[in-house]
Amino acid sequence: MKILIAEDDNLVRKTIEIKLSKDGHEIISLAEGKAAIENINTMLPDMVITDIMLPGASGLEIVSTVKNITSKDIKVIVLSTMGQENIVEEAFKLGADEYITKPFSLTELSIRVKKLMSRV
Amino acid sequence: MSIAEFFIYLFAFGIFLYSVTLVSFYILIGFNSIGATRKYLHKNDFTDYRILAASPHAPTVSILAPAYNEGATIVDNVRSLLSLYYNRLELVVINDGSKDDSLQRLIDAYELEKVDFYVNSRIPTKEVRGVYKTKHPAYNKLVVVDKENGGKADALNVGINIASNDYIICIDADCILEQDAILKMVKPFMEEQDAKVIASGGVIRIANSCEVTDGRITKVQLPENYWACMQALEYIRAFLLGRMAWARLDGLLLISGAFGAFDKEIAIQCGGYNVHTVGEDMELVVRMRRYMCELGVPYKVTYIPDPLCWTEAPDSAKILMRQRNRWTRGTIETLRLHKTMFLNPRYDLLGVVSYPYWFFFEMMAPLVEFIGLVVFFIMVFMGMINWHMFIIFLVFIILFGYVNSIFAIYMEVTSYNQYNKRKEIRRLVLAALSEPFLFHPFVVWSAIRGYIDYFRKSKNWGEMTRKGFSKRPETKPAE
Amino acid sequence: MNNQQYIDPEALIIFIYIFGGLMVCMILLTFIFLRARKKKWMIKKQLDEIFDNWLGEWILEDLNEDTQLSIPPTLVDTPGNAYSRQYAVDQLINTKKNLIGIAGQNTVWLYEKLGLKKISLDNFHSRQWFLKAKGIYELYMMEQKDMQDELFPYTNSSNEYVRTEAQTAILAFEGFEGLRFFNTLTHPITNWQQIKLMEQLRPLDPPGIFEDMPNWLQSSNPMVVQFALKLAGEYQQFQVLDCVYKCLGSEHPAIREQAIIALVRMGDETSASAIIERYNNETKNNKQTILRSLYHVASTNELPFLLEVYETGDGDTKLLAARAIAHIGPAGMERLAAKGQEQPEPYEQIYLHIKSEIAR
Repeated sequence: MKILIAEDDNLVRKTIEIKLSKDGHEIISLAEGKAAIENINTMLPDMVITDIMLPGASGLEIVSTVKNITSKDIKVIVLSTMGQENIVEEAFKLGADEYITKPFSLTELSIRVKKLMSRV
Repeated sequence: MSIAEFFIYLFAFGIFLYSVTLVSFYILIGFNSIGATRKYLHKNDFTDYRILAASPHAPTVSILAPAYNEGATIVDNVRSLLSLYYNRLELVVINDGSKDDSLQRLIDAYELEKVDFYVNSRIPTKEVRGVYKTKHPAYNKLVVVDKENGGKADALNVGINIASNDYIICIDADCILEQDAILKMVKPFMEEQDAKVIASGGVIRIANSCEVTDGRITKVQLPENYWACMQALEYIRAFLLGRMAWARLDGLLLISGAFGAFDKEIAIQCGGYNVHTVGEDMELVVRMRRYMCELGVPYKVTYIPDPLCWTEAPDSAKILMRQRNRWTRGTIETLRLHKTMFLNPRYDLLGVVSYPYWFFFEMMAPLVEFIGLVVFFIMVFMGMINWHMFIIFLVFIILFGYVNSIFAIYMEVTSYNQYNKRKEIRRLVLAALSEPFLFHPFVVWSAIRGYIDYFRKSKNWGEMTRKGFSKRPETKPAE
Repeated sequence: MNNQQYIDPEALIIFIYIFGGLMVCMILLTFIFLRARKKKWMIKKQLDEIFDNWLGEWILEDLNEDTQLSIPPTLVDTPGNAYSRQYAVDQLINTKKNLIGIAGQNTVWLYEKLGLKKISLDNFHSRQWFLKAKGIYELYMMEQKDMQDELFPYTNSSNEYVRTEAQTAILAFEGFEGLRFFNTLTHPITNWQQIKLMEQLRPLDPPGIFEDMPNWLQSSNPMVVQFALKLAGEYQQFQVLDCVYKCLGSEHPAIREQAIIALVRMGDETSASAIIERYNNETKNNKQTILRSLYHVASTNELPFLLEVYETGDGDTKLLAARAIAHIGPAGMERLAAKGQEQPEPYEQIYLHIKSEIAR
């Protein structure tokens, strides 16, 4: 499975990369929002994992970009420090499939990825 | 000794006294800046700003971005503003009667619709033609206002009237903000204890020659262009030394129009931006401070030294001259409007130190230098110059200027170190060395032109109401 | 210029030498500093590589006492390595901030195994406020619970930054129990710190009843009262309702404001009328708070009051009142529409504004 990660914190990005590639996924990781949107449109990954606070374009914009792609059902996991209800709600309204708050556990992330993928 | 000679001696003495006071001020500013910068940097070491981004208890903020004929860049600029970290945020973009397709481009890009909107015009402004919002959830923080052209101050006033949040951050639509800019600007308001925080000023840095991708500075570089490079030095001196020190003394008189945060209620009570001056950014701060002093409420104006806002500086002599011309007029107009504060103990430090400092060393400086030069030529003509003394005095003043500039460079390197290549520092030092011979005379001359225009304009007052505003940064970084 | 009457050229020449010397010194210092920074940058890069390897190797492993760790030479505890060890602490803290579960535990394990606690303790024992505060920060981020008693007295330190870090630390160690520091707090607690603490408590399970709440609400420290009111509202502390009502009459506007908000959140049947009663004597800001709060609880009972405010208030007030009226339901909307017809300027536009707001 091809997974695109949009996350500006190097450390978080790297650890997710390590964990998910151990799980056998192909990873494309980016630190910037606009580049992520472009890559999503051209590469059509199976899943996108995105932060909300991203430089260039916000994670919410990424979620709505993904959900506007009709040719493929791409899953989206939002990963954010912001755990307030209204933000979570907004993300789901835009079509996010999962919302994980930071600090997060890599094991949990991996399980959620697996679950989502099995639904495809 | 003839009467003429007596006056010339008197004048020379005046100049000398002036220089000594100026030098003392610079030393005072230098020392204060060291203390303030160190404290700020230490404080930042363990501050986690992200908490504020998401908290429902965080204060509500409206960003006001006026735009005039910026169709080419407006959509991208708005997108990059929308991606700033802050939950309780509203972005108000004010289209100041642009003649281009700015509005249509925004409508298309963000799926905007005209909405019914009650504008509570507490500050009188030009007419609002319409308010636009979108149903698209990713852009729900965006409000676009279309209004009749009235200039930057008027556009900002419309923004203040429409803003629904408690704090406003006024910016130029084309400047590049760092991701955490809002968080850092809002924090001082959260830290208020005994004194009400009415405004918070930010730093402007020069984006010329920097690498920018997708509305974000990816690599900071010293401008290649001489004029821009000189301004980079000037901004370092002004923001790192001048403003930092004045903020510590609580005597800050100017918050850059390109990036400043205000308590909305106080700004409205003061009547908002003054549309009759070209120095509306400085005028507002002075008026807000004056208002608080007159109310007798303890208050504070804070300042954040982090480089949070980047902007293109004029890189041609022509545009630069126009900008400095305008700054001079803005300063004269502001100080004249608030002349009752001059040496008035009722306004505390503001009246006794800040205002006179601005009057003598910002407003009068170009005039004093210019007249000094004229008198110098007269004295040469009359054979009254003691050349030995003259050269010593000249070298003394020039060297003092160098010490000040190089101290600023040292402070920059040891604090933010935005320019971190040895080559860049070498160029900055060279720029500083060239200043008294190239850049400084140019700036003085631009200011004199400003004086000339100011007096011309006040003769036929009323004819000259300024419309629109240049896309270039109009932000005075004077110390 | 002919200045010899009042200045001595000799003195100026001395100054010229001093300035010249100063200039040369500062330029030299600047370049020395740049060089040092470059060296630090190299160390950072080297450490980043080490960390990357560790992350790959260990971040997901079960680490225990028997796991062997070979400490790289740059991180051995020698005086020359102070910088790189501090950098290692900073990096581990960043990891800890983002990851929980095994990865988070492993971070603490690495911190302890590398003997980095010594760095934090040295910081903590420093006399300089910023190092002390940083030390406290590191200790709680790395869950060094044994430091709890030693840190506690600093929750009322006279230095703001030391104090706030110590408060955060106690909450990190003890959760809601940690709030006991309020009993002894005499210094102010800024809004910023209040937000920080509220957010810190958010993910934790609250106790049903805050035992000390009545004391806090009667504290002589107004900022403690303010914070306690926030907590009372957020965690529905009905047992202190009387105290909250009393706070409506406080002399501090900020306390009254929090009391209004808390009352509405706790929402018993008399709270709406109690805050309405206060309306006329309140500051402008608190009036707005009252209207914003009524938005959540108003029923047809409050309609007469809201309509009166709607008619008599200024523009901002009208808008807030209209929002609350509309939120009551169809009955409220009808009244707004009727008022708009009766007196179009400005009520029609306000009605349309509210209508369009509800529609989106």
